[in-house]
Amino acid sequence: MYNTIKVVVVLWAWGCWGWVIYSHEWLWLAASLVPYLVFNQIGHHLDKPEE
Amino acid sequence: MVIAFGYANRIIGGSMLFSPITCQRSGCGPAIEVQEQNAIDMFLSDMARLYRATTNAADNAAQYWADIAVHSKHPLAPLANIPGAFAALWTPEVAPTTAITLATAGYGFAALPKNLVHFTTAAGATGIAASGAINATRFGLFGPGTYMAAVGRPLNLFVRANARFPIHLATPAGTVRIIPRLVYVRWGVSPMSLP
Repeated sequence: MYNTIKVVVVLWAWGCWGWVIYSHEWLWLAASLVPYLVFNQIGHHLDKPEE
Repeated sequence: MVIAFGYANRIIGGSMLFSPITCQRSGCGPAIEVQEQNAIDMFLSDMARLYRATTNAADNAAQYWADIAVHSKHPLAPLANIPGAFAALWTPEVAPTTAITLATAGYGFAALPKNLVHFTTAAGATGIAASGAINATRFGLFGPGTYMAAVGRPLNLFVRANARFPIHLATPAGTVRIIPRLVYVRWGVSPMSLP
């Protein structure tokens, strides 16, 4: 679950960056990071196997 | 002490008119009128003139070296392509790209901190201590690599909440600044050996 959500939030961020380059709507730069930052705070509660 | 200042720029008929800028001292002192309020505009105008002059000069230089490389009978004539290639980087068509490239490189590599910190979990710290190397993140937000920071939590939310173990490092060669103070990365998938 941890890895799946991480892939989703990273792909979301990369997609947002692509959209920023295409559209020049810079607000998406901030929107790209929000899910990742939230995930960083709560992601460890998911079933990530110990390294 | 300056307690108030005012200025007024009005655009009338396409040209900007500058009203005097005045500063008022506390205690009803005499007002100070700031002169040369056009200084910034003049500076920017000078920069624009310099840009046009240098890019035109580079255009001429590129053409000059290209002519030598093509038309000269000298056996070393092809070497004229070397200065020509440098001149071509600052022609009017290419200069913006060159400027952006240089600025990006300066932002990424210039004046990095001497020391950075890799934050890891308890299990990660145990593994690093056992192997003497830091494994690269395979699927990181800014690409695969070893991630570091100059400041940690709670200010730096790019550091995972359970990554509470700091590993202090001399900034490795090849480190790139992504977000100042918050995110630095040494791109690659190979583990980074500790000294």
